Amino acid sequence: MIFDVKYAGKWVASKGNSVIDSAPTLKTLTNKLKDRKDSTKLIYTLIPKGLIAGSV
Amino acid sequence: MIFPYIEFRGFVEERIFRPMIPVTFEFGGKSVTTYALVDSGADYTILPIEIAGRLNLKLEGQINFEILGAGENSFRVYKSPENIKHIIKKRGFRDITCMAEVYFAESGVTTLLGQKGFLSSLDVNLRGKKRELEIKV
Repeated sequence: MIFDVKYAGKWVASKGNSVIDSAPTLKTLTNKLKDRKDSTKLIYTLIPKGLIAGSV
Repeated sequence: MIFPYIEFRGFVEERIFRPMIPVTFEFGGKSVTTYALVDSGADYTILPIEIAGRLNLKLEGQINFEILGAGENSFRVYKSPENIKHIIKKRGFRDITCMAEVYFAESGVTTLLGQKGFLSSLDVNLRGKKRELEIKV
């Protein structure tokens, strides 16, 4: 799976190796995708804004 | 189970590879699957607080405290009121599951799989040269 910098700081929904959609908040993202039959099988990930080291 | 590292492109360095695995967090019939960073330096498993909402977990009145990051920056975390089921799935393998406490960070920027409850119950090997990690029960 590859995440591009354009998703930094956003929640991203992915399936397999593909990004399905993104949004600033998890709630917004899940609302956008709620009508998909596979919405509960997607992977929802918060993408770090930059490099990370021992902190969140 | 072997998982390839997750690649992040376009950050300060062109390509960053992180040992992240898909984990399903399940509680009370609700679940969220997210890529989570295996962080041997984290004492606890820490999730962005938005996931607590998805799992219908109420954090009001829960134990909360500050955790220090590597740069002495601190952030507040809230202990989950119940242990949360962790499920690691991979086609062709039996699911790996464990019940463990987690903490929710107000300012979380990613999900961290820490020592207590997760790494303490599994054998995880980082294969940096191959950019993959292996999990054994």
